[in-house]
Amino acid sequence: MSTLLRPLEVTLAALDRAAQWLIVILMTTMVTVVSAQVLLRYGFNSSIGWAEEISRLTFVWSIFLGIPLGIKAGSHIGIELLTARLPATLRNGIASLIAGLGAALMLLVCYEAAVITYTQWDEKLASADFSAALFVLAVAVGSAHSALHLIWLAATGERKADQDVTKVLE
Amino acid sequence: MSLLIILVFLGIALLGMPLAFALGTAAVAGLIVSDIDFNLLPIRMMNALNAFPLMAIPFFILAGELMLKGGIMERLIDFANALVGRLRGGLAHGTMLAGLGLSTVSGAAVADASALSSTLVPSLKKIYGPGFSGAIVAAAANLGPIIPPSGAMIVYAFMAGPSVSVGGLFMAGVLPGIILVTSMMAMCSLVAIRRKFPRTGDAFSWRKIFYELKRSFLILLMPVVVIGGIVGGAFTATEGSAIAVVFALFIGFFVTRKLTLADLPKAMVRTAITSAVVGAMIAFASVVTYMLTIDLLPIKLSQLLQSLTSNPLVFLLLVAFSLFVIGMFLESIAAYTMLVPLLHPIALQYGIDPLHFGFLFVFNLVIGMLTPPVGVVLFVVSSVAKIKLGELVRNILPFLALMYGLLFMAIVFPPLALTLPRLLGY
Repeated sequence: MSTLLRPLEVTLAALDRAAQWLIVILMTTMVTVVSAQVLLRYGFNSSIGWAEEISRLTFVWSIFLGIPLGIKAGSHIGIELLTARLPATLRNGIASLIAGLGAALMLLVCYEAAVITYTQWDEKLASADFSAALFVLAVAVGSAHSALHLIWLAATGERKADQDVTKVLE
Repeated sequence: MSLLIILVFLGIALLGMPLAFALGTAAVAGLIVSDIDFNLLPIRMMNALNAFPLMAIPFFILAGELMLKGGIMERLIDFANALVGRLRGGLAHGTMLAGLGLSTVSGAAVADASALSSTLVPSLKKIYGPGFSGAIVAAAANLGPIIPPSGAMIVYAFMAGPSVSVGGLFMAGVLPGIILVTSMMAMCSLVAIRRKFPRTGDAFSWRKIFYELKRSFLILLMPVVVIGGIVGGAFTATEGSAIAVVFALFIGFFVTRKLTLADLPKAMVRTAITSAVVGAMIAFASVVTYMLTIDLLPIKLSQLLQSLTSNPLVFLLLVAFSLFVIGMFLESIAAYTMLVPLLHPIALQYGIDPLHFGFLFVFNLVIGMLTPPVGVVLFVVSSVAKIKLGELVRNILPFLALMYGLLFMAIVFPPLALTLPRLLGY
């Protein structure tokens, strides 16, 4: 492996681990908040004012943190009927090109989301004292992480279809 | 612009780019030619996912993961075999009923295919051989998105907008789902008699049935509480799905006692990844849908279809044929995210009931998951159960014919899907 790629590999390993633990926290929050809302409504005739907005925020974050892990795991669905019939060299070349194009797309999304996050940072959520830009920040963070995975794929050609990415949680 | 977006999408999707990113790239091409600011991308992507109803997707996936990890399959199989194991082809019948039971706690055919293949195929293979065993499991797994809860129906209802209620769509699947499982069991009997499969199960015993029912009671109670609560208006689909997670945790920790705290982080991350695959497609498709809408494609498509026919039945048959072809090549979630916003409003213009159209759309694409060359359920069964794809495809054909027959009946006879939702006030 090129020495240029080693820092990327280390960065991705750290980001993946952080994303996974963050997902565990977010999922736990989502389940707790939404089920507590039902319990409070029927058990105590009460409700949590911020429940829906915070659970939506945690959901958006869990999706955008899950997208790069899906790239790593080879979970995103694609049509491989055509490329599977090509010679290996051509197939790998196309795969690298496609991963590079995907990386460019995610970098563009990341940049635009980062600009919006910066300009909207002072706006607050309706029900809690958090920045409303946290929603778009999820898009920026998830896209940046995805772009790094796609750059890795483009550079190494390494394809890990159906890989169990949860091993780092053990 | 619409043509360019479609061509870019098809071109790079055929080169192997994951469909979500192919949609995103096609959207960027559309933004460039129509000179629209790129900041539309993150705004629409975030808005598409910033939706409380969509949270039901990860919750139902997580509930299914936890139930499986908690060892529900073993109890469902034992209960199913106590009921029908003694019949000729008893294990095949048991698999169908286990698939039915599993589909009431899980909403995804792929997850069900994986669970049923790993637990049942080894025993099935010994009696029925690999091809028919795989076909039974694949057909039973396809009940997942038809019987509530259903991830596919949640995505459909979300993409279709306020004219479709998730609870109503769930109920639309119940009667056809029961007819389907009954017909598939009848087919298993016919095959068992024709191929002279031996009787293998224990003798029928009410005592055993009551014993197994007692062991499975809480598992079978979960869909009653969750789906009953959603349909009865006690809680929303998202709240019901969160209750399902709590229910699954309770069963796993205190009833079967097979779930451990260490299982939870892995289940959550797997759930997030599966949900993110769907979420990425919804996010990027929302940009594409917006671009196609400002280019007036839905109106043009509607005008084109209405110039071809004003008959709703012909329209439904045209859509069914298109989805049959699309289902052969395209993964179903991609089809929901791209086609529902285009076709659902047109169906309403034809005066077709939104729940009827929704059910037909979902059922059609669910059958597509069993249709070669791109039948994702076939791939899962083939790979988990180590069965040759060709052998599996040959044996799945009678089940496919049955499913398409039922689809046709549901097209020409709407009460098949609509009776139960109407009775419940949808």
